[in-house]
Amino acid sequence: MDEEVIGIKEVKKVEDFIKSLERELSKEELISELKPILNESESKVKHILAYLERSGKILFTKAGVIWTCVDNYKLKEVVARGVFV
Amino acid sequence: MDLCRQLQTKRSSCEGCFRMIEHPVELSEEVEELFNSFEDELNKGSHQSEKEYKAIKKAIQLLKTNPDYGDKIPAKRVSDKLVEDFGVNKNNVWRLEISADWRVIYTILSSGEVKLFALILKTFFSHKDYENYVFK
Repeated sequence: MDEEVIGIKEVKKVEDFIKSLERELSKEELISELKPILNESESKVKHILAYLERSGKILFTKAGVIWTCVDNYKLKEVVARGVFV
Repeated sequence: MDLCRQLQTKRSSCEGCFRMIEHPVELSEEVEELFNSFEDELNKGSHQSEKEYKAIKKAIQLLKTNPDYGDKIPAKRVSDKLVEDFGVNKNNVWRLEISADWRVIYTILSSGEVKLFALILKTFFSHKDYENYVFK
C-alpha cells in the first residue's frame, strides 16, 4: 500500500491541511508550505500529493488545489440523491 | 507522463489533463426538479422558461468539458448555509455566470472510482437570492 510506504500519519497531515485550506495554493506553494509541516524532503511531499491525486482526493485546478473527496455524510447524501446528466 | 495514458479509465495526476476528457455532471435534487420543470413547460409548448432551461443546459455542457471552467469563490465569501445544506468544502465552491444576473453554484468531486465530476448545487435567477449564499 502506498499509504504504508509514505506513512499514514504524513498522509493524514496533508489531507487535514488541504481540507482546512481557505485560500488558493498552487502545487509549488503547497509543496513549500508542507515541507516544514511534515519535515520531509520535497520529493516525499510530491510523492504524497501524487498519491492523493491518484486516489481522487485532491485536484490541482486553475485556482489551486481543492479537496474533491466525498467524505462528508451530508455531501454523500446530496450526491446519492442527485442525478447524472 | 505515464499517467496521461490512463486518461480513459482514471483521472490523470498531471495538472491540466483532466480538461482533455468529458466528465459527467450531476444535478442536485433541487436543480434537477427545476430543470425538469423547465423541460416539461417546453414540451407543453410554453416558452416562458426557455432561456433559463437553455442557460442550465449550456452550464452542463461547459462543465462536462472543463469542470474548473467557472470561478472559484474565495472560501471567506461562501456562506455557512451552503456548507450546512450541502456539506461542501468551502475551498471547493465555484460559480458560473450563465447570463448577466444568473449564476450556477457547483463543486468538483471525485467518486470512489476516481472519476471526476461537477455537482451543480444551486441555480440562481435572481442576484438577491445568490447573495444569501455567496457574500460580496
